[in-house]
Amino acid sequence: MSVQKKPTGIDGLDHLLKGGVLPNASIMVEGTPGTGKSTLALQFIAEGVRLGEPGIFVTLEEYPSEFYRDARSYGWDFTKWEQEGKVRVIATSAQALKKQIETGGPLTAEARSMGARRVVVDSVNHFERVSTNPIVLRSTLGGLIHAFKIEDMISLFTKDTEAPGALEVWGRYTVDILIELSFLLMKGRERHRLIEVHKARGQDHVLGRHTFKITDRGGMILPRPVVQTLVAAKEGRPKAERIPSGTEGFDEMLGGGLIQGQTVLLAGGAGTGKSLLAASFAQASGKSGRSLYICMEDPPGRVMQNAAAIGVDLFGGVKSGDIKLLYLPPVELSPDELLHLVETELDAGGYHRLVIDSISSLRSVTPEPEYLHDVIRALAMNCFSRDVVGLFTAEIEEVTGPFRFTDFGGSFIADTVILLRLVEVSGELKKAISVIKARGTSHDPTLRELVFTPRGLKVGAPFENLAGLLTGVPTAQRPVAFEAYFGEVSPEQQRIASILGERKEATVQEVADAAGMNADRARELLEALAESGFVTAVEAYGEIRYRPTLMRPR
Amino acid sequence: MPELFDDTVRKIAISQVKFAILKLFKENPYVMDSRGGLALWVGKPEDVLARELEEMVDMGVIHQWGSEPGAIYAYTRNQETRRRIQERWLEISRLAEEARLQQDKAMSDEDRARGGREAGGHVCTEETDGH
Repeated sequence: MSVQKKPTGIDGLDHLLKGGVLPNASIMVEGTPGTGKSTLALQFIAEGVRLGEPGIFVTLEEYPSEFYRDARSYGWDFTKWEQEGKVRVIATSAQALKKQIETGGPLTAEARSMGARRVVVDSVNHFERVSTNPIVLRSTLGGLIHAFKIEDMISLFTKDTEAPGALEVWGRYTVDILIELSFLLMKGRERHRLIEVHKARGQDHVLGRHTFKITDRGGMILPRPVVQTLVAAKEGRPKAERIPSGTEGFDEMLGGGLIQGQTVLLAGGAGTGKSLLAASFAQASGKSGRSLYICMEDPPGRVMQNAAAIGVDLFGGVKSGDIKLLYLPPVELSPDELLHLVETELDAGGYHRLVIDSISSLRSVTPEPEYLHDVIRALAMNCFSRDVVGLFTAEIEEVTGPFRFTDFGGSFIADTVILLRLVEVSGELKKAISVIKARGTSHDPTLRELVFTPRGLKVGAPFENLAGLLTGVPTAQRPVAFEAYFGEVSPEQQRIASILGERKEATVQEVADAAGMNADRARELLEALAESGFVTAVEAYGEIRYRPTLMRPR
Repeated sequence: MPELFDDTVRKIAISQVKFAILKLFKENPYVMDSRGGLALWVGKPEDVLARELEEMVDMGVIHQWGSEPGAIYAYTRNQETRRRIQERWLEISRLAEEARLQQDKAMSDEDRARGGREAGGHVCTEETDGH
């Protein structure tokens, strides 16, 4: 039979500890100055009050009045709670604390009289005034822990790992749970707080480092993404209804619209129309659910202004409540925070569309591309489990020539990948749009022009007779009739090729029916044509479809 | 009883150490520490603190657990005494400030007088030297 855990009340921490701590557990929170040890400790006591568990905060270095002040800035009225007998902030010295625990004293009496269930000692570095012998220190801490356990209390000790002359390791082995708070230096200047549960004796916990933020309501732990749990949430509930993209002609390219629960990566260089396509998608909310639009590059005013310039009325959507527009500048943002916000908002319900513009902004605040990959995957799984279409824009730095979508595998994770490129045609820059990948649907394989009109964006006609469009500097190709190469193939193959040329796309059976031959022979001929480069085979809806190759075969 | 408390107020106000101790406990009612620990909290030498603390325990404003060496001191558990201190805190603070100013003045006068004596002595020496 499993032992019932007790929640600490600190949301993210209970998540990391998979529900809370074992009864009478001892916790050590260690870290360098400024990482948030005392805040977390104060929160531990404040959450205890909320849960009806009175607590004692023992300070060995700061005046209690300073803690009252600090706690008030987070909205915790320790003075009032003291008057109500829910909290005691006790100032003492390490020597006196040791003596009181060993022989009894006012602290023990106070704990008993108020029925304290939690205790904090801030910080245990002061025990080093009693002794610098690690064995004595360990035994002193052990004595304290034991005394608190006897009084049926969960104890939390803070420890500064950079205190002058601090002895590094003592205490780590004595406590049940060891939590480390640390800083991560980003871009050489920005500091991000992290939290990690190093050990949790007798219980499971979430491994690794997670974002820890200090807000005006105390500490906030944003667990890093764990994708497996999200997958389980959706299991056995596939849904493939389509919702409109909001851009004329785009749904046709996508085989009828965007599929609920899927993630779309909209990649392109500067000025290719990513944000406007994303805005059009958000604006198409209303009947098909609300849109959550997270802009990370431009503030909402500018986003709405830019969209309005091409006839996309985001303002109306925001006003009516169909669109929620949030500005999250990436400077202070962590990917975990974005994930937490998305989860919280999507849980509020009513959303069918999520726009993040742009996901590339996270790159500058994520230390490793692999980690961003996990975050994007978790965002995608959040969309999947809630039947939300997630549209993430991504920046391609290369204006022309070879390029890569993202360095964090975004195109691999996304169900649909849309590429936007600037192409030079007859001395004019045009915007090209193409569907590179679309899971679970057939799609238009052509590169089409994306046209800006006063009434919004529009997907125009395919670029014809041009090769090398994706490089941005295409070359003109002479229109070539499929039949021009018939001399290289047999008359039977010519017949098959002509049918494909007329139909643009067909299955083996469709070709066989049109040619009046059996399917096996048609397949044989099509495969030979594919091998020669006259046709290409595309898998869609679980079947192979053949398309003519319009350009001169290799 | 009120007269007795008046005496307590006066004794605390005229002693900077007693006032510092009471201020610590009044602002941080759950300080519970040894004599050495309290000396650190109020920033006074332990030996100076010892006598004053003993008197405050006798006055009933400080509670002592156990005996020295190793006693623990806490704010009085008597709520009535705490209430009276709270009520008269402004008066205690004002009296303490007046006492401090008087003591400063007295020290300053004494310094001046000592300076004068030393200066006089020096002149005398010069005269002696000169002759």
